[in-house]
Amino acid sequence: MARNVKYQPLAVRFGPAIKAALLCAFFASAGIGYVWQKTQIQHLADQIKRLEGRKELLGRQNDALTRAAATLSTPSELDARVRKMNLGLVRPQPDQIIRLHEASGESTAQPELRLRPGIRETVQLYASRR
Amino acid sequence: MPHSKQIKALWFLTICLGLGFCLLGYRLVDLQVLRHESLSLESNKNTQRRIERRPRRGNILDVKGNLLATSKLVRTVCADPSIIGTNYLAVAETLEPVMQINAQMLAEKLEPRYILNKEGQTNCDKYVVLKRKVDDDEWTSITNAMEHLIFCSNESALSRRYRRELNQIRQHSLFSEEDQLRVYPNGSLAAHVIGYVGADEKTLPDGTPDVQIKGRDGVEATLNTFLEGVQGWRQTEADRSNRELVAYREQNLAPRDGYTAVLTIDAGIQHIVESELAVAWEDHEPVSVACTVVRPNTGEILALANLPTFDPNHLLGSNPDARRNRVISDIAEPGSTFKIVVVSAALNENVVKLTDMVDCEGGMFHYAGYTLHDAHEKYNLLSVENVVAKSSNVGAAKIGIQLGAERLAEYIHRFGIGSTTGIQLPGEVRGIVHPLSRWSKLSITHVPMGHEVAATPLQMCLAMSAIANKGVLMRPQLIDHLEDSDGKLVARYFPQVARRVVSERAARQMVEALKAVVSTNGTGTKAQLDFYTVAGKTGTAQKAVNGHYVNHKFFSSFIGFFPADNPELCISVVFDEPNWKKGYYGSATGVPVFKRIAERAANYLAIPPEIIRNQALAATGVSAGD
Repeated sequence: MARNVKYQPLAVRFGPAIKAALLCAFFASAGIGYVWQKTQIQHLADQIKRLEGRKELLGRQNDALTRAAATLSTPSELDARVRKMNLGLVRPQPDQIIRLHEASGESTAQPELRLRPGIRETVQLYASRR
Repeated sequence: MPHSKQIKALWFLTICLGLGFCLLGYRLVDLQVLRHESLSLESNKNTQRRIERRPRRGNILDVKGNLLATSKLVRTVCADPSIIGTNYLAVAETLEPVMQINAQMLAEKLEPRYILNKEGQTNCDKYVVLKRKVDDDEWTSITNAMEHLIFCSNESALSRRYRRELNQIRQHSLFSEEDQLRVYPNGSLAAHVIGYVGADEKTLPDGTPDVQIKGRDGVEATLNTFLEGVQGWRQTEADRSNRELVAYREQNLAPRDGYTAVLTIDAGIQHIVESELAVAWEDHEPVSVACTVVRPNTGEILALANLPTFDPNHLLGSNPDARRNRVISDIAEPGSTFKIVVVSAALNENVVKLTDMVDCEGGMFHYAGYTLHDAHEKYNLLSVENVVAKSSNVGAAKIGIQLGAERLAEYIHRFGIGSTTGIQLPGEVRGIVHPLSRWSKLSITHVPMGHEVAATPLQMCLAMSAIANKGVLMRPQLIDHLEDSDGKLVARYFPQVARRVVSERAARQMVEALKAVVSTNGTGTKAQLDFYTVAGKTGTAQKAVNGHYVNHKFFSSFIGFFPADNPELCISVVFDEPNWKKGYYGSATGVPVFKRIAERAANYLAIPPEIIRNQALAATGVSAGD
């Protein structure tokens, strides 16, 4: 059976058209991708710059606060505050300090007292002073 | 068919276009090939920037983490006179109130200067420094002032080009560079230990000055290499307004900040010492007074103070004499505190025992044509213990004679007199100990009472610490550890034994003798503490000026430690020229200061009270050794 010559030219033109469209789509997407990538780079660069500025600012604020805290906690400043506020704060005398000894080794305390080693000594020390 | 005239025109056009393309091609080859290198360099110079990233100088902390020195990020304000041009007077007047610099001085700096370069071209100076160490608030005020700078009442009437130039001045004529300011939050506290910094200025290859902070004294100088950190850099590109184009950043190496130095100094103890020295300064009006607090078992220095002192935050206003750390740089004859060397040496060599009796000859001893006197009272027979307790010069001289010059000289060196202690501070001196060959016949009687030798207060304090530490001399330790900016440990410094000076037995006997000094019949009775036994030695030496002793000028001192049998602290107090009318003996000057510092320091450190503890333990039946 002979071919239908009427539709032949259309069938021939369809393939190259698709190819051309694909090529165009490729170049267009490549172009768009390139631009998008450049925009993203610029966007990230701006973000980096902004965050670096923020980090530096926070660093400076942190430094300033650290310095302020250090100045406020200097021994001379604390002494001056205690005097100014007239709190009557003084350091305890050595005999006013009760020392709690860390538990070490085997207990020498009587079991019935149910006290950790060292506590008994403290209790006795405190009792003897009273 | 085209006309021949048209063909000619076509040929002409073709040839013209061809020639044009040839010229363009030549230009292209010229720019891209023949002049590539020079133009490429020029282009890179316009766009590429290498930004040096300065590290932050490390902090200095005390042993409890209190900040002693830190760095504040500040700016150096610079200007580009080539942009300002003839408008420098208006800019100077605007900046005068915010920068607090005279307008005329500013105008002199801002006035454009033209320099003839090697190629004969005239270039305008583009970089002048207006002010250093400007903080953020001041910089904001400066930029605000520049933004609102008014050059004339009706600027809109000016040409567009001129208006653009004025805007350039407002926005780009002033710029800032990063810099650091060293801040000492405690002011003068421990100033002689921390030291101070100075600026090290040099000119970079591009002609711009580069200023770097360097430690000049104290720990700032000793640990400079650790504190300053390592510089980083950034290779990047900038736009026409010199703003960085982050997207074109090629290399970016962050600087490594300086390490944090943690000292053995305790700010609390240092404050106690300095406040008590200030009281003593008022009471005795000396030329100087110095104090050192050491842990005898480790050699750690908890406090080191000198008066007069200075504030490293305001170095320009300080007296250079006040900046001297007298504890390590000043030497003097130690006087009677030196008796600890001769007596402990004699005890160690079994030349004498504590109970041996020494004839002090009624306080006058004739030897080699010279009469030696006792300073306090006239004594006859004294035990060796009492020779120390009463500080008899005759007794010490006789013990020295018994010991012999060679052995005495050896022990002087063993105790570290005549050599540097190795403290981590610059400017330490060795003291003066004459070689044995230069000793006169009298030297064997003079050296035992602290004459003919010169030592620093630190050397004497460490010698006393050696006795407190069972005869072992420790190296002074001032730095506890180094850590990085994240707080991770970088290096730890451990206590170091210098050498054994005397045996444990001799040291224990010496401690007994030194306890007698602080007993009711000693010279340092007023050093007694309520809760601790104290051992120590007073010292008074006449000052020598130009080789002659001068009346009414003395060095007086007291060096003591407590609790005597299990020492926690050794404290040395040294007065230079106290007002003799108010008392000049070590017992009158150094002892009261020692007592006050010891009481407050023991309280601050919560040192267990010796006397109460023993009583309580006796009550519970537990031995005192636990």
